[in-house]
Amino acid sequence: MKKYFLFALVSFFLFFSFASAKEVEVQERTEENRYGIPSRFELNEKTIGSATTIPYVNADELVYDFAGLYTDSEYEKIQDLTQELNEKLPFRVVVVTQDNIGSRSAMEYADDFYDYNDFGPDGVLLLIAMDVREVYISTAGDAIGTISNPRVETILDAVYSYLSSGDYAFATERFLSRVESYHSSGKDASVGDYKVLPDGKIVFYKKLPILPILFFSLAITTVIMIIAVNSYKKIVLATNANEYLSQGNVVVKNIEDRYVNSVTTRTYSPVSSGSSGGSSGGSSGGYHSSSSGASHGGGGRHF
Amino acid sequence: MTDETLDLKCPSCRAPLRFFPSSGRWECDYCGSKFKLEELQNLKQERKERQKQKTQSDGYICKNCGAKILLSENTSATSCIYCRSTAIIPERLENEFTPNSIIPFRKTKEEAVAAFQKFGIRKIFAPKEFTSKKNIEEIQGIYIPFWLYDFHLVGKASGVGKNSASVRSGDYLVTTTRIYHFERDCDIPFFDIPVDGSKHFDDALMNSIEPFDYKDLVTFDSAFLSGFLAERYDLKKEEAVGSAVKRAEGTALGQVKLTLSRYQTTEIQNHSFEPTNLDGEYVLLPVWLLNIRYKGKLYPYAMNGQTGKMIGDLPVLEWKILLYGLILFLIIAVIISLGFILLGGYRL
Repeated sequence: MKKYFLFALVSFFLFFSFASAKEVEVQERTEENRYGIPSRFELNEKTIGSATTIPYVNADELVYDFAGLYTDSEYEKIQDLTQELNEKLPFRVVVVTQDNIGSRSAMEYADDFYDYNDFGPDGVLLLIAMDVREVYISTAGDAIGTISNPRVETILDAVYSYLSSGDYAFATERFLSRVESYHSSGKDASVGDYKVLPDGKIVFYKKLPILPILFFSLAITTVIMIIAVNSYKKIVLATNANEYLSQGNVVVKNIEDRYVNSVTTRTYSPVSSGSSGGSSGGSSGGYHSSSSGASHGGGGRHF
Repeated sequence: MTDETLDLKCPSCRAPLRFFPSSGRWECDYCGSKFKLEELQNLKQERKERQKQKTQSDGYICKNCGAKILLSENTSATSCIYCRSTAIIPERLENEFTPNSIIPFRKTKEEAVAAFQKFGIRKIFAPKEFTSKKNIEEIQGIYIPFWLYDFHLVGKASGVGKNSASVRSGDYLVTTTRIYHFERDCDIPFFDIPVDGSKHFDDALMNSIEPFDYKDLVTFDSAFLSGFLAERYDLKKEEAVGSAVKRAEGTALGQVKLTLSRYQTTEIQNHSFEPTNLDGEYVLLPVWLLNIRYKGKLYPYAMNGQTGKMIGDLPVLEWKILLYGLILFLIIAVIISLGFILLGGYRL
C-alpha cells in the first residue's frame, strides 16, 4: 500500500514538474475594455465574434504555452530570449502553443491571436497547434518586410523537423534566432515597396523603374534630335533621274532567271523553355486579410 | 559683230527698261510704259540698223554712263556697278553660245526675299540674325546655263537572287537557300535631264531646286536677260553629259529591281549602260541665289526662279541643340514616369 502511495506521490510531483507549471494568465473581454480589441480595429459583429474566441493575454509575457509543451526551465529560457529579442527589435515576436484551436485554421488562429491582443501593429507570431499538428508563422505590419513570406518558408524548413521529433523548445529557439538574424540582414528586397496603413492593411507599391525610363528617354531624344538636325541639311546631290524617266516607254527584258544551286544550313536554336519570371510587384502575393481586416503574411506546415 | 553691250532703254524716255516676272513684260522705271517682247524686238532691230559701229578696246563700255565694266569670262549679262543699268553682252550669246530656250523669271525679288525669310523661321536651331533683312537684300537673280539631255539608256544588268525557307527539326533550324542568276536587257528613255553647265555653280545646289517646269520654256531672246545676271556654259555638251548618265543609271537600276520581285534578296553585280540617241539642248534657267557668310563659313541658298522652291543648309547652333535636347529629354522622361504612376500604380 505504501509503495503505491509513494508511487502516486512521486508521479504527482513528476507530472507537475514536467508539465507546464506556468499557467497562462487570461483576462476577460468585456464591453468596458472594448473586448480587448486594439483601437486600430473597428468594433463590429465580425471582430467581436472573432475576438471573444481568442484568449486575451498579458501582452508583456510574449510566450504563451497553452499546450504545455515546455518544461519550466525551457519556458524560462525561451521567455528570456523572447524578451531580449523584443527589446532589440522594432516589431514584436510572440510564441504561442495551443492544443485546441477550435474551428479555425492554424492561419486564422495565429492571425487572430496576434490581432486581438495588445502586441502592436507590427510583429511576428509563432503558433504550434498540437490538435492539428500544424506550425504556423503569422506576420503583421512592418514585420512583413523583414520576415517576408519567402523567409517564413526558410524558417519553417529549419524548425519543422524538430517539431516532428517533439523537440519543441529547440524548435522555438531556432525560430527566435532565425528572426534575429533576418532582422540583422535588413528587409527582404523581394517584398518591394509597401506601406502599412493605420487599420493594419498593407498596400504594395510597384517601384518606378527610373533607370530604364532615363535610358529610354535618352534614346528617343537622340533619335528625334538627329532627325531634326538632319532636316537642316537640304542640299543633296541627285543620285537618280526619276522625274525625267519616260515611264510608259521603259523596256526591261528578262534575259535570264537561272537556278544555280542551293545552300543548306543547320543552326542550333532550342525552343525557349520556361517563361520569364512572373510579373513582379503590385502583388498581394501570399498576403491576405484576417478577420480584423489587417493584412498578414506568413506560412505554415504540418509536422 | 557688235561689241556694244545691249542695254534696253525705254523708247519713250530713254530710262532703263527692266523685265518684270510678275507681268511678263518690260516696264520703264520712270515713265511707266510697258512693252511686250515683240515690240522690243522690233525696236531693237530698228536701233541696230540706225546705230553706228563703235570700236571698243578691252572691257565693255556701259551705254548709260560710259563706265568700263569688267566682266568675268562667262558672264553674258550683268549690271553696271556705277549706274546699275543692265548690260547684256551679245558676243557672249552668239553661235554655239546662243541658248535654245529660256525659262523667264516668274518669281520677283520680293518673293525671293520673303521666301528666304520664311525659310529661317521655325528653324529653332539656327541663329536668329541669319535671316535678317540686311543679308537677304543681296540676293541675286541669275540665269544659269543648263544642258537638257534626252537619251535612251541601253545596256545589261546581271546579278544574284536568293530565296530562303526554314524548317524546324527538333532543336535545329534547317534553312535552305536557293540561289539564282538573273540578267536583264534594258532600253530606258529619259527626257530633259538637267545638268548645270557652269563650274561656278554647285551641282548639288542646282539639283536641289529641281524640278523646273519645261512647259514655260520659250525661244531665247536676249531681252529676257535685262535686270538679271546671266552666265554662259563652260562645260561643253560632251563634258556635262556624264552627270546625266550617272543619274539615269540610278533610275535604270531601280527599274531593273522592279523586275526582281520574285527574289527575297537581290544583288546587282554587273551593269553596263550606254546612252544612245543622245540629244542635248542649251537652256537658261532662272535662279535666285544668295550666299551668306556666317562665322567664317559660306552658306549658299537658292530659290528656283520659276517654281519658288527654296533650298539651303542652315547653320546649326550647338548650344541650342543641347538645350532643346535636354528639355525634350526631361519632358519625355516626365511623361513616361507619369504614365507609369497614373496608369500602372507605380510610386517613386
